[in-house]
Amino acid sequence: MFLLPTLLAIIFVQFYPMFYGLILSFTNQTLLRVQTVQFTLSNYQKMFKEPQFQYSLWLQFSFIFIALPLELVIGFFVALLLDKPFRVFKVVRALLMLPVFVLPVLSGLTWRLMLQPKYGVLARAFETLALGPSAWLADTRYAYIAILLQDIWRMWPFMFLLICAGLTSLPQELRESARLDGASFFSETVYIIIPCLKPVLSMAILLRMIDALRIFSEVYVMTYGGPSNATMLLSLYIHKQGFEFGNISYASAMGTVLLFLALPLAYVAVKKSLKV
Amino acid sequence: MKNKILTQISFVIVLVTVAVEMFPLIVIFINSFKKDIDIWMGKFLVFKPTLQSYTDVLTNSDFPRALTNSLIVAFSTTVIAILLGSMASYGLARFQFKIRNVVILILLILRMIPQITLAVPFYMMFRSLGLRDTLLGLILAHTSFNLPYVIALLLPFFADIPKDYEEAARIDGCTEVMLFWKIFFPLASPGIVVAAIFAFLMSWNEFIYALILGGSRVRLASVAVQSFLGQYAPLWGQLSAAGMLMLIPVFIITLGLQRYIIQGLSAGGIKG
Amino acid sequence: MKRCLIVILACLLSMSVWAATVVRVLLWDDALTQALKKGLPIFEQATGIKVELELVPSGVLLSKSLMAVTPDTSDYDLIAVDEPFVPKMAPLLLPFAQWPETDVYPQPDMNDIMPYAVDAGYWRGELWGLPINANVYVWMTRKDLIEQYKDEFKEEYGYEMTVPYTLTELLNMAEFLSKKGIYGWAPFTKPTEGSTCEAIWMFKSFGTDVLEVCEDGYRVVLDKAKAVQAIEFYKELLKYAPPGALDYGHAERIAAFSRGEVFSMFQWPAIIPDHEDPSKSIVAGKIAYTAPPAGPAGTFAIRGCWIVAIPKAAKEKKAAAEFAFWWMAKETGKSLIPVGLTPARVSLLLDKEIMAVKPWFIGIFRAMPHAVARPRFEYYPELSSIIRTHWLDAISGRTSAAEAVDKMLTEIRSLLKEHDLLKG
Repeated sequence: MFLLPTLLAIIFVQFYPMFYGLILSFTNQTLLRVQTVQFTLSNYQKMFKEPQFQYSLWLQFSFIFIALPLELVIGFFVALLLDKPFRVFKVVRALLMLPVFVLPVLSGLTWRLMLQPKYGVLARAFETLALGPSAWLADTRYAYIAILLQDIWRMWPFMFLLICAGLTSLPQELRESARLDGASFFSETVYIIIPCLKPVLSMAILLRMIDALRIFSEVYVMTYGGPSNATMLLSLYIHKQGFEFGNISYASAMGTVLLFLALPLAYVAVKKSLKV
Repeated sequence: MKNKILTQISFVIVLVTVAVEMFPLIVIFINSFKKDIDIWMGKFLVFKPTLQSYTDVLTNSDFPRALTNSLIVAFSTTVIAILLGSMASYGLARFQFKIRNVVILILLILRMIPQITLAVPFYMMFRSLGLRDTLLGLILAHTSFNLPYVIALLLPFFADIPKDYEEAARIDGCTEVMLFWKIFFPLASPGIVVAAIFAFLMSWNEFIYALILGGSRVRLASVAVQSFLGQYAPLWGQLSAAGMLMLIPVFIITLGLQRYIIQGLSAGGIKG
Repeated sequence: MKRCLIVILACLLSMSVWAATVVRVLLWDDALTQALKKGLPIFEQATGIKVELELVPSGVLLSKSLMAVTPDTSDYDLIAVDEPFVPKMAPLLLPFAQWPETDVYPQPDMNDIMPYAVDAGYWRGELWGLPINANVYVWMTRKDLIEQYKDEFKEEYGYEMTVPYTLTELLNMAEFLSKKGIYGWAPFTKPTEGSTCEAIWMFKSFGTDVLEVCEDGYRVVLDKAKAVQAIEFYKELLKYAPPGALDYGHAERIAAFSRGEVFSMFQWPAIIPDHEDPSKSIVAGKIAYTAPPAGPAGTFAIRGCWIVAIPKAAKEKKAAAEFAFWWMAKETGKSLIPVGLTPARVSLLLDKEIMAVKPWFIGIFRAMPHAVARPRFEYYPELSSIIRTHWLDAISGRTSAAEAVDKMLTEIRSLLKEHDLLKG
């Protein structure tokens, strides 16, 4: 099989860093490499006793479970809406992809600019609608909502594009015969499109999820972990421990735990995306 | 009649969606033509446009060179990832074997680990291989995360292709290789295009590896853009200009590859 | 055949002898260091040393340095270290006293460097590097607003309105100006290093330190009563800060001041050029520069110098020293000042020509004698995080001042205990 060389190459490149990371989590090594390295379980013990870790974990998974479904739903509906072969839609589709293409740092900074009280366009809009406090990013609850909005804004076109591609791959005959049989738009969607698209939808969720687990720049640049750690997602906390404090072994341990918690979800998604 | 109203409503919805979605980008676009003082003054549309930011970005810094580097790296890694990845994805999707799901999962694990954990081993690995601060090194590093991504993304597309195509081709005496290139690759083309776009994008915007594995000789756009972030506060005008410049290549690629996404399946698969 | 080989060998040998030394330098990325890049040809010509200058965002400089430098190996010959991290990096660095003699550029006259700036490079009795800039809190005040309102102010408050010399004066003036629609002052409140600076500044101004360095550890000396006083005063000041002041980072502060909304606040010298640039600020030319206002315990200014240091394991130590001395040379300084260098040399700071163009240099000179460092500690990043988290909670009202200080004390103690450094 000609997929073997590829697989071998990847596995080779992946294994060393992966195992290094795993082993690292069982040591006391820090980025400042002056002390002797010892093996210890202390990272894991510390983690489970630390309230910040649990809080960050909770923030991270809430983030994923709120943002991803919304991104999927919006992406799905817009994909359906644009499923017609109008030429202008080509441009529309490319334009809609732009948020995904924007540099994450720039996206976060622009949202920070837009939410600036008194001067930011969004802040003023929200103020006239009497929505939320005057300084969203200074409020613990609204800062979280703000980062959610930023992510949804940026990434629903990702789902959108993937679903568009999926819709194209759908056997046209099935949809045509259904329409000939008099099926309404609604039932055509629910009974034909969704089941056929399940593999693509599962893969979209999976891909989004693995990226959402590592989200960093956009949030960091908007809130730096938020007023009073309100937006300190685990990915940010891991970065803080690793890059700011230099506790790479502790960061590694937290990363490993995050990974293991996400694996079951990933497994289910993979299974679903292979079924035909 | 009902159809017409439905179409009109959907047009309106599309318009509104696009407008909302584009808004922050319009902000960036306008900011790239504003003087810094105007950006923070809050008068959204009232200002004297200036090309100063663009001139600064293109002449003062090494940003153009960084852009070229990024183009080279992103393009190379996309090509490699698509070629190798589609083959691998095809193999995994069409051939059933017991631990298939586990293998796929393992492939994806690297992308689920936080980057900080990978930074140190990658740094050491690359240092000992002498690949630090080289284009080749970065291409390899980017491919390491693009490959699993492409493989995973293409799985449903390859899995979806009905068996009839395969059987018909085999009856016609197709070899394995021909089967892949002449039949499966084109059939999965919508997926492949999307995978290409995303692989390019991942490499284009990727920051951590570029920072750690790059150096004085090889700087990528994603790192060069950071110099507009300033030590304290961003140089908003230049940052927006640089951001816009970075959007252009990806946008062109997406626009260009559009036709492969919406192209219907050539019905000649079975009958031909 | 043999002769060929000998010729080839001779060529190779001579090439390696004539091959230029390459010095690898790692610095932060901004206008100043980019300007340094432009000056490299001068250095290379004078010394024959080739320079590989790598610039990275200052936020990641520490981690990249740590990744690249160990006690035994170093990918760089000269690195920039932000002063709070000197204790952390010290084990990896070559003490300044052991820097090699150089051929072309001499060691700068240490008397010409601002003494408090040199302090930045000291840790446990040794100097670990050369301070490359004189970075200290400079206080900016709007001269034009003083001119405009000084009579009214004198009537209401009974004393001359000047640049606020004490915190109480600042509070009075802020209160007065709030009735005129001007924000008296702007804080720094994003959860990053800047907030730690504010906290330490206030603590010092009210008379308390955080850590005391002992022989083999540290004592926690944070005085709860004074800390609470400091917090309460800061909260008073916050009443006269712009909207959204609880989430004010550099971007927001710079914008607010340049828009003319704020009367008086601190600023880092590297940012001040932006305020004096007419294309970026409407208050250019209207700013007075002094040391920060004094609290009950005196005048204090937080210092944030960068030093350049040579790792112990660096290959080209001599070349690195040459580069550092070239950077510190007066001529180089003179050419770099227009692009943003804040010189550590007294002679450059007080140079009449330069001061005419850079009026805030006198502010640096005034503020530096009051310079105070953030707590010197090997695990400074963790300490900074503890201080700023609870400080921000207290000033935003999420917790009471007393509670916040209690938490600070508890967590600092356990941090010290974790590393076996708690004394007393």
